[in-house]
Amino acid sequence: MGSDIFAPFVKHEDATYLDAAPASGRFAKNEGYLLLAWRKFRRSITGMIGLTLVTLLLLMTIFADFVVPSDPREPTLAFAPPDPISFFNKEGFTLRPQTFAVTESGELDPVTFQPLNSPDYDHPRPIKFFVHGYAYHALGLIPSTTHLFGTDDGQPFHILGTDKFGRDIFSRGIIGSRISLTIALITVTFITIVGTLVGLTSGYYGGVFDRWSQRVVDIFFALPQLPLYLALAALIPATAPSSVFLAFVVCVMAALNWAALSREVRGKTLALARIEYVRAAEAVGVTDRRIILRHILPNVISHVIVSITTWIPQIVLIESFLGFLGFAVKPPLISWGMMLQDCANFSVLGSYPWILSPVAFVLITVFSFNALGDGLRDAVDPY
Amino acid sequence: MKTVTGLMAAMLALGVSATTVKADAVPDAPKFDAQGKVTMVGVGDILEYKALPSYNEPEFMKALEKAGKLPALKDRLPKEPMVYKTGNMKDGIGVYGDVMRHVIGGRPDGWNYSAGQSQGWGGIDIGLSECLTRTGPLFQVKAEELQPLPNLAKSWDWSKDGMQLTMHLIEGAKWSDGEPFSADDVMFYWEKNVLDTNVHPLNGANPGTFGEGTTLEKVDANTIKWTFKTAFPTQVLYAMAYGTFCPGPAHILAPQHPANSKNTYDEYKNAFPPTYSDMPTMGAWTEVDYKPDNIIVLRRNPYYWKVDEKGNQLPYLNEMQYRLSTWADRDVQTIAGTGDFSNLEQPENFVESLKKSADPAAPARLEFGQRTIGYALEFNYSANGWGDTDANSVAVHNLNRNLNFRKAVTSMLDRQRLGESLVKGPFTAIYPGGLFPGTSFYDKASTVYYPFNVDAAKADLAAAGLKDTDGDGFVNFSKDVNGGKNVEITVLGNADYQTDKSLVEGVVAMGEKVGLRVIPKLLSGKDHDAARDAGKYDWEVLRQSSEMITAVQQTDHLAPIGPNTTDFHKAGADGKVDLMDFEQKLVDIVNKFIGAKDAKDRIALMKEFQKISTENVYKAGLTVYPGALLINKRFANVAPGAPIFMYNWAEDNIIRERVYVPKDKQSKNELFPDTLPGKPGSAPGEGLVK
Amino acid sequence: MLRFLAYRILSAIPVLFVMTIITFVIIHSTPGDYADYVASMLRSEGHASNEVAQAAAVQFRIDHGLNDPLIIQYFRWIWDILHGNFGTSYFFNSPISEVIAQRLPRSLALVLTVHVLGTIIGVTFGIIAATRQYSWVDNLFSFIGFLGISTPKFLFALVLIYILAFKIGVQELGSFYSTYWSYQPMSFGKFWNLILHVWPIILVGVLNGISYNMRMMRGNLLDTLNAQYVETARAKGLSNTMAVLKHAVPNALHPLAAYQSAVMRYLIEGEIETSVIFGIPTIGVAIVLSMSIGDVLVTATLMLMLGILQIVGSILSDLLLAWLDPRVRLGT
Repeated sequence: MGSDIFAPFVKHEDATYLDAAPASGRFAKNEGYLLLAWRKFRRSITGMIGLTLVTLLLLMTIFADFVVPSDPREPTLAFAPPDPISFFNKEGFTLRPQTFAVTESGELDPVTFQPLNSPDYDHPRPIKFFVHGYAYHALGLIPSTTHLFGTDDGQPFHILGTDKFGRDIFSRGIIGSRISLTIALITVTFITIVGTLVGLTSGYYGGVFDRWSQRVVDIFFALPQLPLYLALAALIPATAPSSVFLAFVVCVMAALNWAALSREVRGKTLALARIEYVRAAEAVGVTDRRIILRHILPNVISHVIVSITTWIPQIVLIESFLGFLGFAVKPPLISWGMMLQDCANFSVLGSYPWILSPVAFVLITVFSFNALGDGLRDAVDPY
Repeated sequence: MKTVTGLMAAMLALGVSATTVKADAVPDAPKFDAQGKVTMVGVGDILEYKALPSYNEPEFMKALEKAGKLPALKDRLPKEPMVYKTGNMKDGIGVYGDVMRHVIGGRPDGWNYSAGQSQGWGGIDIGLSECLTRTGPLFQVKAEELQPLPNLAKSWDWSKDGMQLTMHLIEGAKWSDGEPFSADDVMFYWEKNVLDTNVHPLNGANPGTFGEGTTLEKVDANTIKWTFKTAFPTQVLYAMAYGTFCPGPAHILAPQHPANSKNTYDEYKNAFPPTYSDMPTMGAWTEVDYKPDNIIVLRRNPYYWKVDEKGNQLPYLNEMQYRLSTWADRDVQTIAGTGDFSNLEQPENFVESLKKSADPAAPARLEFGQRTIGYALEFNYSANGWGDTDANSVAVHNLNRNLNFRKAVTSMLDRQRLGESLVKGPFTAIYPGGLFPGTSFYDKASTVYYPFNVDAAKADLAAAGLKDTDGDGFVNFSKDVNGGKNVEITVLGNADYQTDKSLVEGVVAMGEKVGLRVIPKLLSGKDHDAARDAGKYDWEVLRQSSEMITAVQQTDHLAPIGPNTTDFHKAGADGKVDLMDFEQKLVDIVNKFIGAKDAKDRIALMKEFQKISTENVYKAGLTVYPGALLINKRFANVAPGAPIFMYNWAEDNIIRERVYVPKDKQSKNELFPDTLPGKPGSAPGEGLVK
Repeated sequence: MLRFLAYRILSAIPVLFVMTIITFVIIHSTPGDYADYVASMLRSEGHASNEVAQAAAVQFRIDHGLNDPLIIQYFRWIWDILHGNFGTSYFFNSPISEVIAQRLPRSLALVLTVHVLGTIIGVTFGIIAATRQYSWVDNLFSFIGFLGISTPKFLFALVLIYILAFKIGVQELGSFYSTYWSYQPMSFGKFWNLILHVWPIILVGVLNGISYNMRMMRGNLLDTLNAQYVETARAKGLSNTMAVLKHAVPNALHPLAAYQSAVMRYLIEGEIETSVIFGIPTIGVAIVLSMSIGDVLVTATLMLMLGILQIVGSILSDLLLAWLDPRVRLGT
């Protein structure tokens, strides 16, 4: 909760306070702020890891079709384990990694009557980069058939095995990230904007506006989320286009979650608005807007940023849970929540654990945003 | 609302006759060792009624007799108790002791079955309420001798003209509180509960259930006589089994009935809440304790009227417990060993359950029965107002009525893959539609199967008048039908079950392959049921019920013989069902079947039904698979191959009163050892006789 | 303070009304109702024909007034509640007050245990992590924290139940007590049996709670640790620990106090996932169950109860905030 007035006196572990930017021109100060923030951010290992991962995630989401090696909708051998990758084949060590397709031997396991399968070591398939695969439109416009990696012959390559219809899990996970991340990002944007605005104004102005807005917040709070999701899920007509459905999901999740953020922001604002320098500013005649923007908001921002980085993973998790319950996008669309529906039986847990891969995707996403948030939280307050 | 021009409607409905899909023989279902083998027997091999020279009972009951708390065994049994033949008991004569612990997801309304209260399902009311005849164990009865087993009615004779049926009830049997069972109980049920339209017995018995215009009268204390309006309606014997003719204790119920008291019908129904313990039953066990949301406990009925060939009064098991939890919990509890019995119906859990039960230390064993669980894709045929009435829906329903379209749909389905998405291996079998393969009335030669063939499906779609006119990969209606828009088909599925969801997903994906845009409509619980009953779907993926397995139960589901009898074709706005030509034939066959008195006639009729319905793809079958009985390893006398559902649920099929636990395996799980049920109306847990 | 309290309680009443109206409307707007459930049970368990099942459904609606317009049903419900009659559950066929009374105490105990444990452990971890920023302790706790909030709870629960039932063969699964112990009066043995049954729920919930509280605490504490007044306290001779505890921590607790108001709701809904999977009869499970079969009065009453708890929690959190921070108290 440092404020710029006290900046020179704040202790740092490495005593770089002498580097604090001089309070000269307005532009110089802002530039210095960003630079300072970046330098501080760079020192946080978690933050850098988070930043890298988030960037990779976003790139992967945008260029999803390019990244995936197999068509996510093409059915092959059902419930197949991941294709093994090895640097060895019959001849010995090779620099180029080989993969072996999983085939069924025709025999049944005596206990479970499941067809036994094993990798076909007789037919190694080299893995190459920039191969030809199924056709798609990059960025929705440019037709292409190049994929980042895959097998030479363009046959399906299942790094993470297949699901109940024989579709590649890895490909579905990456394509699914589009919808899951889009929902999360848009929802969190709404939550942040509405929550912060209401919280700020409510905490600062107090009085009648505060009372009324807090009652509205109370109403939203008092609405139990889960039952409402379940009820609202049944209301969407089956033939509604996916965009309508997604908009609905985003609105419902934003509506049920903004209240929490607004209360936290309001709490902080309440405290800040009573601090002496704010009172002093008021006394001098500074406009409310200026006070809010220049004194209160920057101090609230660090908390808001921590909240954003906590909210994005939370929304991803809520979406996955809702998807698990059935409140998910419908095929042929793919989302992580929808993929998680397939995980809810014991055979998957015991015999086909690769189908749990979407959990790993969710974990990695959640981790990267949280790590990024950690780094940002420290950096946003470089003084 | 845009109407379809007459010519178009005719074309759509009749279809072009040149087919491009060739019928084929149904591939045989794969065999696998874990399926139990059923030994088919005759009715006489299972039971008979006869007096035995001596009888026996558990030690603690002999002690109670000595203490004067219980009348002598000879006086408690009827003149000629039902005797189960040892030859039909897999492990022979049993020993007394132990308890069977069930887990159920329902909750008891109360004990007034006759007035419509449920006891929580899961086999509890099957155990408490014995009926005139019995159908559960019929899975082991040879087809030539197939008729309901005698139960409370020990024998019956038809009059010469077949209009009257005289039934002889068991003589000298008593309710669990010692009061005599007689024709009075039967007549009270019939007159004051079935005929009285203000009372709605559980499972819906009404005057029409036993034939329109049927009457019943008491001849003497142990004889009743039915009078029918048609000759030899042998079908009706099945209706006298569970759950439409299971009489309640008249001596307890009658005083509460509005005809004999100041009670309203509602008060009559609710006069026996779950806390009214020791309600008299004719079943092997009587309820003695109830803890809400927790457990219902039943103890053996000291007046039970069935014995084994050595004279041991049944049941062998002294106690039954019903843990009140959730249905999903049942499988887990049985596998863990805290429950004893479950019907494993979800194929997604087969593999793990097999693995677990192969472990010698596992408490439960797994036995698969016949493939009596099956799913089909049902078409909504109503073009006259049942279901959604917007232009697209009506157009799709008319498409459903087109044989070429249905052939396209059935050949776009890769049933092998659909089965594998549920569970891999030999469990699932290809199911073209109609009666389930391997059941009594199934005839392979009469079954027409259109194999998986994408090209043929596409050709048939074209023959049905559908072409992709806008190049988006999905076929469109022709220009004057629904404005030439994309064909959009809504398929309804139950979101509560993984199986249903997987099948719907499969249908959607396979539709896409041939250019049909299928939209899944997954609803759960009551929302699904409401949509299903109101016809708000174009297609439905639905688990098939009894009529596809046995044909003699829920027979009216087979074809629309009435305005509301089938799931998928009900009366429209004008109160009539708009039958298609072949459908009319099916209706006629079903009506004849219901009135047929000869087993041979019935078999022939069903063959014809099978041929017409599969030839015309009345329903597109998806897959069939067996359920597995998950039962604790310590129980003996469970018939091999007992299906989890055929004529009734496994709880009835395995004849629990014959099941026992060998002395060395008996557990200490009895909650009220050495006690008996006491006075009706006692507080829960208080009335026990010790 | 009293005036503030009175004002909050009074203003809570219209909020409750609005909330009940919204939830009542939403619950009733789904296409199916309990009558459909009755029909489907008859069909599947009782092998009844479609006509019989339909007739039973129609009869049920007549018997229970489900055909009346929504407004009338709503006012009937409110009127009954104001007279202390919470209505009857269709599924349990017993008064809803009994159903709630059976489930509420144990649910609350479960939820409060999870919350208290999660908060205390989480806050402690957060303080430790913040004061040792970037050390291995900090990284370890951050890692645990990350795991806790990123694993979907239901999946965690499924994996747990799979391992317990299929791999280990644990007997204490589902329900609060084993059958035997449910018949015994409370004792150490019975209490231990209870723990054996509910520990998975507590574990999953606490892990989640620890993570959230820890991250919140750590973040806020890192802010206040560098504040001038802390520096002053140290300069005055206060030991670092005392400076942290007496000056930094209370200020860092702000947003945490504001968070408490949401806690009740999060917790009940949080334990729904695990309780449904483990088959433990809690309030959350009752909500989900009643929603799926259309036992509308149970759902509506439980939502009303949750709403009240929510508002009570919100008032308490405001009080907490005022107590913690004199600036808020004086300023309002």
